[in-house]
Amino acid sequence: MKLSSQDIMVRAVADWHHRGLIGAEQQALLSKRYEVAGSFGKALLQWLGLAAIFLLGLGILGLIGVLSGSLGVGVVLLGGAAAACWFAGVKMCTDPLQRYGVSGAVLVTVALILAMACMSVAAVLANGGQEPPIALILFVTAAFSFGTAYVYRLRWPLLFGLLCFFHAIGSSHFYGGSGSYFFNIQDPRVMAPVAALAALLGLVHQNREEGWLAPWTGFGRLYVIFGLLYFNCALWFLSLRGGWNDQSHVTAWVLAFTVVAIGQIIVGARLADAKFTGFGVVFLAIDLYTRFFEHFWDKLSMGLFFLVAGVTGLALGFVFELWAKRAAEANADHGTAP
Amino acid sequence: MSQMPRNKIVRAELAQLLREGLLNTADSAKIAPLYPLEKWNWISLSRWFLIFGAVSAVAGAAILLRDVFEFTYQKLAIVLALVLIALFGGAYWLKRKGFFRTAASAELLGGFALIGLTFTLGVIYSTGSGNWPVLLLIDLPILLALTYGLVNPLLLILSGVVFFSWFGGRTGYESGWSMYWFGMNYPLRFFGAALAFCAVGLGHMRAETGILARYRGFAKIWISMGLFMLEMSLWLLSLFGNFGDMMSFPLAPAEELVLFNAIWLVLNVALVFFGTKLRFGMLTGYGVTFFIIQLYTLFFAHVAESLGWVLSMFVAGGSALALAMALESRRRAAAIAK
Repeated sequence: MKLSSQDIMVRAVADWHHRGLIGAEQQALLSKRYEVAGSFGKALLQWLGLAAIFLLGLGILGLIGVLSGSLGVGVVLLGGAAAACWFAGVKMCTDPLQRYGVSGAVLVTVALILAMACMSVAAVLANGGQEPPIALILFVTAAFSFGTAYVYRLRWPLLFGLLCFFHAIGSSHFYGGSGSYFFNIQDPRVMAPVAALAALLGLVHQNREEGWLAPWTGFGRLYVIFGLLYFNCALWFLSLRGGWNDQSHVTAWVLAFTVVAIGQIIVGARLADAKFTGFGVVFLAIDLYTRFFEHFWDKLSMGLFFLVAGVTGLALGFVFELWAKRAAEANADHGTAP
Repeated sequence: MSQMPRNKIVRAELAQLLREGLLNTADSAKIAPLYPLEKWNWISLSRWFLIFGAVSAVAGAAILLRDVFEFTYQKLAIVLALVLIALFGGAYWLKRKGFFRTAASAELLGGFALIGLTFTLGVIYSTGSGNWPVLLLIDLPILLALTYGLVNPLLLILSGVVFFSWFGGRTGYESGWSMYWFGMNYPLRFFGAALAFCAVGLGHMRAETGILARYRGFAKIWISMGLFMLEMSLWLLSLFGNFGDMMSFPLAPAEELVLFNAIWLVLNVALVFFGTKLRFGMLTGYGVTFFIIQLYTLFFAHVAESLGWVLSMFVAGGSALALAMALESRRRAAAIAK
């Protein structure tokens, strides 16, 4: 969904109020100018739709376990439900009047989740109760989802497809009880380049969305978010002691993680893209936090490293502020509108 | 759409609002820098480099001082006091020269030096009670006074962190285990404190267009800190029930967990609702993130145990879908009637 100029302005005006730049009355006055009737209901509907997908998705995943006692029935049940949801959803999505556009997108995405569940149960049945080839099933589901997203121009199937794709590459997580959560990437050295490519693809996609990729506006953003998320997580895990690393390479990965996080802040400033800035800031904070607690770092003097990095950061920050000041003065000299 | 086209749209509208007299020149001049049109966003770069530089420099200096130099506590206190004066003096000088961001970072460093000085004095005049958190309580009003005296949002964030630590919050990283942890002593107290933070934030926001105009944007920090503590305390309460010391793991009765989960769910749904209605992205972000965490936890903690949760997911997801369809139907009918 592409944001219209009105949407952008309504959000901007609300932000001005939340920052204390304008009062409530002025916000109400300016919002009226840009407000499109029913936009609140539309936005709420989107969240409701996403909640429905999430809840039904969890229900379907739970159903796989429940149906393990009668696999044949499970395949028929899940397959039938997937087909029914698919046809109903596609019919709603392709309705020229778009009477049930959101509900249709929900049904199509749920159909894809059901299809994945059906393939999993069928694989267990075919393997005589053995573990299904889950990575393959996830890749196939991802392919279906990407196809669906592009054919019917729907972002939720793309979101689901990206989740399946990155889980197929090796991402996994679970709740371990007693308040402990686990997140793992099977081989971060494979994940890192794949995720970086996804982010790059998203950037190119995003830039073309003003042109020939206009029907798929908003898709690039999802590629960038998923790509950056998994790219940063892969480098994060590689920079941790133990696990996947030969001990001699940890310092190199720490430096790579740090450089990539700083690089994202710079790219965000150059491309005026808050996603890069946000990921850079969050993962640089995680990086510093982790390094601070790692008292065993024997390759470099940790105190010296932090001090040099900090003073360098402060010096660079001062230089950037100097340039910002000069740019503002130059704009004022040339009579640029405020 | 990347940020730059949005910035162009907002800046064009801003100029239009100025021409029409709906915004005055002063307000417009304050709003315009939020939407930079320059090739490089030097403000963003200087902000993040200065913040990370300051934090990293403090960490480095602290570790180096401890590892390399042999100080007596008296000498350390004198050095810290001199550093403190130099930093706030330097910040004053930088402000006079127009380098407000670098000055803010120097003041943040001064805040760290203040905490270091308090702790050093605490060791010198120790009564042997071991009650080190009280030193943070001594720092808190001084930091808050500095925050408002110097109009520095970074010091407000530092005050929030100091409050969190004094009040019984802990975080850490177990190196070698690749395990990050977060805990709160007496989370119910945090719940109450968080509500107070949110109330202060809302009051602040209302006053920022009037008597607190100098402190524009501080309200968002208050609200964000409040919401963070609110969500984190409810997360812990929903997992363990009400408890005191975080190192003990009580077994709360089921009805207590249901109660806290219900409160948490209502809070998250309300945040999404009001965040969408008020276009306050921060509220929506908190609501959606913790809604997913809650459902994820419930799913993995309980789904394996009984069928009840699977059915619940289907009922909840199906209801959300039915509600989405009903809303779409109403919206369509309203559009036709128009």
